[in-house]
Amino acid sequence: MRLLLAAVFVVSSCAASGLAFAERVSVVRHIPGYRCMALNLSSEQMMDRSVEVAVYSQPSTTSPKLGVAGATIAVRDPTVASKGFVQVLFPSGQTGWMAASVLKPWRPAAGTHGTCVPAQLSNGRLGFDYTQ
Amino acid sequence: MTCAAPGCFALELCASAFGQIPQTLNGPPVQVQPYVPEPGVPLFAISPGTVNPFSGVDGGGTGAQSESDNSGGGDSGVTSADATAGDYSSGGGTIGNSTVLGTMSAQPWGATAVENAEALGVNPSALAATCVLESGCQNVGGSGSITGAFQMTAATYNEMITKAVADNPSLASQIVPGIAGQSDPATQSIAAAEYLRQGAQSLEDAGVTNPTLLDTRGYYNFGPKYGVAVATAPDSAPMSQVLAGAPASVLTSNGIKPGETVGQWRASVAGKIGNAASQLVLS
Repeated sequence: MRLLLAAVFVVSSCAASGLAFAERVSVVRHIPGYRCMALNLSSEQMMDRSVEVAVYSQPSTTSPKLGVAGATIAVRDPTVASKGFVQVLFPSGQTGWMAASVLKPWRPAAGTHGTCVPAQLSNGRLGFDYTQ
Repeated sequence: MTCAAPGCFALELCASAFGQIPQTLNGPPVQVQPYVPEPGVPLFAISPGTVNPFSGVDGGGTGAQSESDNSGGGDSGVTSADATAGDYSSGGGTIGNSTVLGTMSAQPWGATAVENAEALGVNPSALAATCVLESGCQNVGGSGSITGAFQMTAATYNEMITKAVADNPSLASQIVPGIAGQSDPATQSIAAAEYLRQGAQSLEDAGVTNPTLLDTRGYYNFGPKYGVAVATAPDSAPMSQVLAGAPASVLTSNGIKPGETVGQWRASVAGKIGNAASQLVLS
């Protein structure tokens, strides 16, 4: 009887171990009309959580904020600019505006020919498709 | 526990069970209903309780720390708040995911920690996974000012405990005052829960909806801006490209190997905390 109980427990535990890993996240499609750019900040500023770069709903610092920017930004391509701001795609799916001065072209890691393309991900998020 | 565990070798059934249709162990294991009582064995019953959200994989700790000064401002939309950029230390806890929540709950302060997490709107499972990752839920010391079950720096602890009380004043009565609170696991659990909450909310501010514990670990391991980049990258993305422009120390301090992909990093973390990795931080 004890052996049978042990067997049931072991089989149940092995079945449960299949839950260990999170859902795979893949690229569903590339998003046309946008290109990757990066934040024009120092390495120290990039790592500092107290430094935030705002994304606005309109090309003005007085307009409501949509939120803050991550390291990679989807910028309208060709560029749509107004009053020193450029149009961007916020990860929530909303169109926003960022100061052009805080953006710079996205560059691959040193010594590589990597690429970055804005993309729709399988988990529903808007993100980026990077290649080596 | 994986199917490579010694216990599984006792039955060849394990190999076939792994990799097939995932099944949730919802409640206690199936009970054998004896029709002939075994002499000398007392009768017992397993009462179904709270479903353990963790599955069974063992692993070690992870984490990194980054603190730096900053400057910024002007009309560009760049702002800089007066905040301490603390982080969890590198951890060393070994996790049996089927017992992670139980590991924290088994501590004398575990039940209080669960209540503290709920009081701040944080998923207790996320808090439990954090303490197991950081210290195995043991109130141990660390390097520098890092100490406690959640291995927080003194500066981060002080900042977070203050914000936690501001968010929920009812927690004030449960706090060991002063820096002594950092060494009290129940008190530090309040600061740690607040830290998780802030990380998740920061990700939401960046447009990352429903941040998971995995997303939040990325936020703290790679910094706020690269954390967003990791959270919005597919599994196929090379970490070196997602973190392009980041100091080399960001990759090395987090053990990122050349050619490692985001998916491999995610699997590495999930291997340590099981399906808690995909649970939402904010409840």
